Amino acid sequence: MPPRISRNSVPSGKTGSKVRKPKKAAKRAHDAYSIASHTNPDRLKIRQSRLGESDLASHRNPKRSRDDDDQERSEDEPSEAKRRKQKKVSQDDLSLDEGSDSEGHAWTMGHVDDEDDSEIDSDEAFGESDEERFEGWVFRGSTSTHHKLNKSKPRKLEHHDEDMDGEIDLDENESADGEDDDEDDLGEGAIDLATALDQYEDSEEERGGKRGKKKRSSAFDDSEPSEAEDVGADGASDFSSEEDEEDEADRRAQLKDLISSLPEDEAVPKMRKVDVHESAAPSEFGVLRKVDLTSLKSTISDPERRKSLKFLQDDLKPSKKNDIARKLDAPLPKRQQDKLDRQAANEKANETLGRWVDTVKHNRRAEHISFPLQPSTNEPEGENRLVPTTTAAPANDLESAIQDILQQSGLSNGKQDEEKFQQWEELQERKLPLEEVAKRRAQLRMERELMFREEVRAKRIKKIKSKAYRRVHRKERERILQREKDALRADGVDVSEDEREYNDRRRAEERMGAKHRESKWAKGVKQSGKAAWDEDARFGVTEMARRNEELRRRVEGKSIREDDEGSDFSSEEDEDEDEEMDGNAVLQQQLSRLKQNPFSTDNSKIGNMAFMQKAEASRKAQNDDDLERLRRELAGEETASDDEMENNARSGRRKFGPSEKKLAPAAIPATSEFEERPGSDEENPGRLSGKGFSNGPTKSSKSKGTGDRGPANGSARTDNPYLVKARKSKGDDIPEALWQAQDTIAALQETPKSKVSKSKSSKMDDSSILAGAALSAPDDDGFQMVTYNDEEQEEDVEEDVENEGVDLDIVMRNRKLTAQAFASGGDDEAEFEAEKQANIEEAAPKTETTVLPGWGAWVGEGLTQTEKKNRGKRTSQKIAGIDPSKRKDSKLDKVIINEKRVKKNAKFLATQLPFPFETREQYERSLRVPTGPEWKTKKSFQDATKPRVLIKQGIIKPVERPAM
Amino acid sequence: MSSDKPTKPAKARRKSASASNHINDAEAKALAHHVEAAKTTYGRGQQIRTKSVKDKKLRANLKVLESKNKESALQAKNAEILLDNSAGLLEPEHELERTYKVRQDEIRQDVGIETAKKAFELRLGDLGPYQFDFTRNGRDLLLGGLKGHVASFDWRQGKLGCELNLNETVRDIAYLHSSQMFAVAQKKNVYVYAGDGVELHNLKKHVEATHLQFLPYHFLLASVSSTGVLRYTDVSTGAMIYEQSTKLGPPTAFCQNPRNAILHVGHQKGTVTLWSPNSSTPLAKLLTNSGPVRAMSIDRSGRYFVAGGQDRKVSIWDIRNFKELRSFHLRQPASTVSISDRNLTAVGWGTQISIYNSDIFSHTPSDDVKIPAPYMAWGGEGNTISRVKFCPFEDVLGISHSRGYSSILVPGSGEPNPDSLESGTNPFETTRQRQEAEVHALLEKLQPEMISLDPNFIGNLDLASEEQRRKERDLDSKKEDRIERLKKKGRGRNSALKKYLRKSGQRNVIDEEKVRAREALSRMDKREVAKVQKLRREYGPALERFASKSG
Repeated sequence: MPPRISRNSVPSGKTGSKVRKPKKAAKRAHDAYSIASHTNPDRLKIRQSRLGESDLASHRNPKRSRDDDDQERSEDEPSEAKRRKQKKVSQDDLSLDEGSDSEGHAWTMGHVDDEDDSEIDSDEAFGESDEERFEGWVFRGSTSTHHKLNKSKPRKLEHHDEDMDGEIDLDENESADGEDDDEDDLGEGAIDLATALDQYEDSEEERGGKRGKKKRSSAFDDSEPSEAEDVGADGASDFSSEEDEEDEADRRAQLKDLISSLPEDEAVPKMRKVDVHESAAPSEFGVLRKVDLTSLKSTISDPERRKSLKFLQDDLKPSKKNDIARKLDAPLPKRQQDKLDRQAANEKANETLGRWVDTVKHNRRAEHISFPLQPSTNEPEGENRLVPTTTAAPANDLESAIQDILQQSGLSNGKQDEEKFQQWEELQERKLPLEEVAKRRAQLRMERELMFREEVRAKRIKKIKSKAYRRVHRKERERILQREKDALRADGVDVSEDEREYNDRRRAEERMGAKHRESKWAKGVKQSGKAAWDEDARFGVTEMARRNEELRRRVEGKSIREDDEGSDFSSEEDEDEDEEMDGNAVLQQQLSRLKQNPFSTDNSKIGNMAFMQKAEASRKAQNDDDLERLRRELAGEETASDDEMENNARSGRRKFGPSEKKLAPAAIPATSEFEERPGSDEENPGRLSGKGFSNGPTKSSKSKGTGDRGPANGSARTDNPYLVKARKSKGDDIPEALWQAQDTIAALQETPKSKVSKSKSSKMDDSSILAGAALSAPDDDGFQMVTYNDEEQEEDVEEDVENEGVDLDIVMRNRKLTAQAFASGGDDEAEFEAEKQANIEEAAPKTETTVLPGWGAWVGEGLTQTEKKNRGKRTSQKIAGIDPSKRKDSKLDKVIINEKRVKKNAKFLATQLPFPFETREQYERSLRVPTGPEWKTKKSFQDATKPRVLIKQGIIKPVERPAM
Repeated sequence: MSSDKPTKPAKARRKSASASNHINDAEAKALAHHVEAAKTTYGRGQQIRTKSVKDKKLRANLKVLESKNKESALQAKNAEILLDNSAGLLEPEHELERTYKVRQDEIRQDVGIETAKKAFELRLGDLGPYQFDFTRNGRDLLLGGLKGHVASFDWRQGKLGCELNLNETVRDIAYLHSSQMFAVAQKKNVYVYAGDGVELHNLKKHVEATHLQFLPYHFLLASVSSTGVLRYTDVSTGAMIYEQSTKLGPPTAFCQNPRNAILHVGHQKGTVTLWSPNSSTPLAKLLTNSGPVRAMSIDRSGRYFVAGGQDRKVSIWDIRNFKELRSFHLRQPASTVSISDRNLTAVGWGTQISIYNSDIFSHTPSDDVKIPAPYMAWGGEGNTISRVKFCPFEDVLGISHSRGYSSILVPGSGEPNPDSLESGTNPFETTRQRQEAEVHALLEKLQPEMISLDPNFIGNLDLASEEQRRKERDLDSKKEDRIERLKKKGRGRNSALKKYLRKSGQRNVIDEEKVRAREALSRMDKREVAKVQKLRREYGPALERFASKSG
């Protein structure tokens, strides 16, 4: 192994002499002792300490033992020399190392050891040339060349990867080209960290300085080479797939290294052997053998033999080193150790338990919980419900049949497509060189990453609530849009937004439509050559082509004015034009267009029928009239339509007869309609029959009536004569109302006859039934419209019916008689009032006064009048009651409500507010919804009565993992 | 132009955005409307204000409760689609058409044959003005003539249950919980007959009853006598629950509020009193008419109360608030009133009947003088109307008059969607279902103490002051004897007395109760020993070991 030799030989001379000088003197002084010690079984003790046993002696005199070692090394050992070279870097440290066992030193030791360790594992792999090559490379956190190696040749140095993983794991700003490797390392690192932790869980050490420990673990790696190797092997298998990626040079180097490391490979098993002993409890055998070796070595003077023994020595050295390192941390006293142990265990336990907290909380809070919590997934998914066919193979006949149909019809399953595609992709991938694939993957990853970032960014922006921010951005967007548009305009294209949208839509629709270029129809035509002989088909094809072109042009924003006429969006087009045109001109144009009725039913058969034609004609005439009128209005002509207009709003009943005023304004009838009402029938019922014709409305004399009638105002809205409403004035007392009722009935009988003839009477009555009647302005013939309240109308018709053939006199007499008979109604009321008053007084709060005659009063002669009056002790007692103003019936007329408490009902009342509730309202409202099945749907009833815990039959396994 | 251009697309965009918003809004609005409707119909009053609850746990619980309530209201609303029968009324085709002009033969011609069959007439001769009653599911009809003719039958199928001639005055009749029992107020007492006419009970305490009412959920038969005494009898136990004089003379009308089982009694002086079996005085007293109250009825939901009196006045009340909504006068005094499930009101006056639709309840008192136009009318054929009653779940009005019984079709009067799960209201029930329903109804029987003006009072907080409660407590009542109670509690070997002695603690404290308990226990023990010995003697030497106190 040339590199190793060359490397170590150079510094050994220098450093060895430098460092050793002071020590050598000391060593010489103790030479005899050292020689003795070589042969002495005393070493045994030191060994023991190295093996992890607490040995006071070894602690007491570490320097000495070390010196002995040094002496040994000084003989001629390249590895030793190399170590010394490292020590040169920290001379003082070395002494300190020897002096104390503190944690910090252990760390530095670790570093040194690290070197040592590398020496064993892969020194041979790291050639001199490599060293030169990676001279400039510095791995973060380490000065060792080892890392350089690690970086450049991860494949070769599996073990080192393992060692360094911890560091790599933490290393985040990796260079881009190392990404792939890095990721792999990450994966490895996870394993390695875990194993390291496991390893150290039982090594009873504090967890605080994890990093330091990791280092140390790597330092101690040689002490556990078996495991390291195992992991390394794993790693190798992991990487095996990626080994191809390495370029040729690397491979060659690898091969070289492999060859060069062959002897080392021999050493490894040996080492392992040693290690087995080290990790095992110290036994006689282990000790004996070691002693044998060293003793052998010291006694053997033959250089040849010594050389041969060197390998053995080599094996021993690192272990020695490590033993020293381990010796440094004194095992804590058992109690303390146990405490730490418990703490760690507790933490661990808490952590594991902590994972369950959410699940437990969730289950506790759950309204219903059914065991088993995690339903077994044994049964196939499509058993009970349908699953999309894209995710699963068809489960039953129906599904497979459907799938067959789908496949036959070309609507093949999405899933299969996907699968095929994937397969194809994989095949393609295999053809590609590995670097290409890697590159692609990297690119994909990058894209994904970028997309994700974009997403995150979009989300963040979406969350911003600042109006200012929004405004600024909106303005910016608008500006950009505007700029685009300006650019378009500069190019001579002027498309409005609406238009563009419309055009896009049209085009899309056309594409959707049957007569698209790629449609079945079009294909059929093309295939059959139908267009050659079929007129229709040819026309269709040309039409299609034209439309297509036109739409395309539209979307592009080119003008297509020339072929506007035929297209069916001319109106749309026109609307655009309208904006530019003069308003009137536009309207004129529209009118002219309306003239040719687009909805005429000329062509249809129904349209040919006589009545349809007639109806259409009449409608047309009407429309024409309207159009004419509109045109005239537009033209600014005076409407000569006074007579025309009268036709329009003529509905409801007409009142015939001449009227005095010809052109009464619409407002007047509203005020004067009370004049029109029939006179009061109360005084003179017979008079009405002989009334003459009215001659129009007279001036209103009653202002009250007008005030009362809000909603009815004349002919302005007489479309529905029944819409007008009348209101009766309030404030009539009841007996009056009773009489009024009779009057109304009487009046009702008269009204139909008198409707024509009334009107001139100036007498009025509030109870008059025609209060709701409204008269329109009389027209030129003197006719007036009378409109009535809907209900009144009904009523009088009803009364008409009811009173048919009934002698009025009898009815009237009946009424009078009943009125007389129940004139005592007043008495009833008075009685009731008195009773109510008595009730109120009885229930009202009172003060009772009782007198004890003779108590606290003077008797005898010579008393004044006042003293005589005071005849005893008075005690007054307040008796609670219900305040008259607070009674439930205080504002209710004709009602007495008993305010006494119903004792029997109290049985079903809650005596006090149940515990968790804070107010009465809460409690009572919580009871307001009944729970019975009569008041709820079946589902809500079952939900409400479902038990909290449901247990399925069978074995219920404990929850395996937290559900949350 | 250039100044216009930039604004236009922005506008358009805004418009389109607002359009989509509008759609969303419309959807959201519809949804909100649906939820609101569910809340008003099925929410049962106001929600709990959970925000003001201080206790965390209570708040969480109440929130859960509220969400459940909301959910169930929504589900109930959604379940409305199951009510597939819709109600409707006769509608005039134009404004001048009147629905009250429609005659029965016209209706009969236009409806299906089966429906037309439901309109019929029974001419029963001279056995007097008839009273009648329907069962709660509307299947059976009970007729009672003043002169003693009683008949119960399935009126649609024409299956006669029984026909009796009692040879005694029959003042009123009423079905009990099913068609299998009915009560007849005869000359002196009230009798209960089975569906086949067998006399089951003679309620001797119900003397000279003039009116009868049966409260189905409480199993109470109530009668008011000619002297004005109101009586309640529990027909499931036979116990007399309540007997109290109204002190207002002979009653003129009697009806029940289906919502809260309060009985309304009409009196001579135009007053109506409201009674429950829990108070000796009426719960409320209304002055509805000025003159004897002849007819009364309350709608299904317990909202509207219609009273017609001798003064020809019909007054309509919101009985929950005790407010008179309106009143109007008839041409003759109303003799009978009935409100259907869909709030059609039939008023019988003289020989005629006017049926008003539910508009009469919604009118404001300002136009109370007006006579509402009836929805339908019937009669005028010289038969004095004695009673009208809408048949449940049918568009049928039953009319009994001096000469018999008439059934007419009143479109839109019946509830189209019966609740077949509620006991007694399934119009299609089988015998088996009827029997099941009877048992269920008995199990779910409400106690008479639960009758109150507010039927939802149960479980509410008692607001009476401690003072008041103390006053109510019966201080003179005998204290309950604990030892006596324990003695009766047979609990096998480990008797209640032993347990009491063991658990009462402090053996060294001797009080009277303990002494009594010990004595009772020792006596019990002695008795048992004696019993065992006696048994041993009886069993003889061979079998004496089998003698034990339990044996």
